[in-house]
Amino acid sequence: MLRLLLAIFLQLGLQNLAVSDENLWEVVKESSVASIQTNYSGIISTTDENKNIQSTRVIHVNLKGEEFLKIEKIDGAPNLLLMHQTDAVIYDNDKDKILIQKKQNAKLFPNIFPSNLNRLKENYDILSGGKIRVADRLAQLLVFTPKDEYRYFYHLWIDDETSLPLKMVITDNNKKTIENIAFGNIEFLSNEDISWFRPKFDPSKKYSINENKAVVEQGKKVWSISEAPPGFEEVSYQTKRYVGLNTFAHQFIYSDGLSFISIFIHPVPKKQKPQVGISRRGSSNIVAEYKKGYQILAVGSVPADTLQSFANKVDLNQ
Amino acid sequence: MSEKISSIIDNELKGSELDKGLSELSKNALSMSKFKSYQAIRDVLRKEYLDVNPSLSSKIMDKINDEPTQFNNGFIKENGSVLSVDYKKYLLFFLMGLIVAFLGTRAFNNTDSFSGGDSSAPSFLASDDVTEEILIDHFNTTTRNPNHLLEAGYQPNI
Repeated sequence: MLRLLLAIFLQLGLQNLAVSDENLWEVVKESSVASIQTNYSGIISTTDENKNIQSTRVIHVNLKGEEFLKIEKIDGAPNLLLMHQTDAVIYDNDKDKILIQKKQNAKLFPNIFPSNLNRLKENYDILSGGKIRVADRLAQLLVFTPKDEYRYFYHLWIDDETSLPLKMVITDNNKKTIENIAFGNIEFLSNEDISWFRPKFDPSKKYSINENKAVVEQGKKVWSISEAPPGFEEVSYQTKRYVGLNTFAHQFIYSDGLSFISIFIHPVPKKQKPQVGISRRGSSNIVAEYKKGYQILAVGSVPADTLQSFANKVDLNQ
Repeated sequence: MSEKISSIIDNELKGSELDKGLSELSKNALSMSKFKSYQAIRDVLRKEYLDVNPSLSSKIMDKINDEPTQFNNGFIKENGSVLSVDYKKYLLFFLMGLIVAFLGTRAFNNTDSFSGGDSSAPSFLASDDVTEEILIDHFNTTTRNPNHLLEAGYQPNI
């Protein structure tokens, strides 16, 4: 009799756990939609490893299915980003002039979840951390725990009422914070006014457009990564031609749904020494390898071993 | 016959061969004279000669020094007062062998290298070695953090 009761309790417990997991993934799905459809304004602060805090003022409106986003720096230079859908224009203040840069396929916090959640489910377990207040609002803490050693932990605080992500913290396997980005305050907007969607024109400054050193060109895909670490898929491949280089530089981008990795492959200039080894800059690990006259650099907020696995598998197509 | 004398001096002949050699030697006056000279030379070299004539040893050594000797593929020092192995030559050949082996290995490893690349040995990556351009390109294409795009000096793709 005792055994039967125990079996029933266990069965019920497992069922509740499964339902609970499904509920949490449902929260993620709602959050993914909310980050596109919700109208809001507020202050977003980012804290790096050295505890430096930078803040930006953000306003986001979805007008008839189209996203309009404006982000302004409120510390340091008053740089500005205007984004329509995924096309961004950045106004970068540089002493006496303003550089206007363009960027495609932009996707910024709080819009951090992929459209297809299956890849996330394959690579991360999801746990609830309970309800916690963030930016004066009640939020559900979700912890994405990696299923293997190839990625870090992601902590997401999801607004209880609107499902908008309010905070994200990335920690490594030693529970050290790699990146922290959060709303300091937030206000939800009821109107769809986009009169703010324009830059402030400063007549005292010169404006220059696209002063890029490198130009993206369509080049042949001569490199490949024979076997990426589990859970990572190639999301982009592009070639660039730098000034003074006759050959192309290549960049692979891989993602597991939350983390992103760049693998740069570029020829080593004659007077420059190739490099090998592991280093770190800010939130990113960097692994360098040298192969067949090319410098390979794998960069990303993932363990160095993951980057090394990528760098080792880079090879010229036969 | 000089060869046979040399063999006897060097104790290379044994048994019946030694008897035969000595018999032949005793029948030939010239050979016998040479035999005695060689014995004297050997004794001088071994410092066993007790002759009262002190100039004989130096005369013999002078004669030896005047001889243009070339033994053992050139690894015996020429005209030295004492025969010795020339280790400098050994070392020279050893180093040449090392250089040839190193160049050969290097040439083999570079057979499929990109012609435009630098074939010098890679150095160890330091944090400062990673250019801002690389990090900017990485963040430009992957970041979710707006501050990465708004930092001064940002150079995104077109």
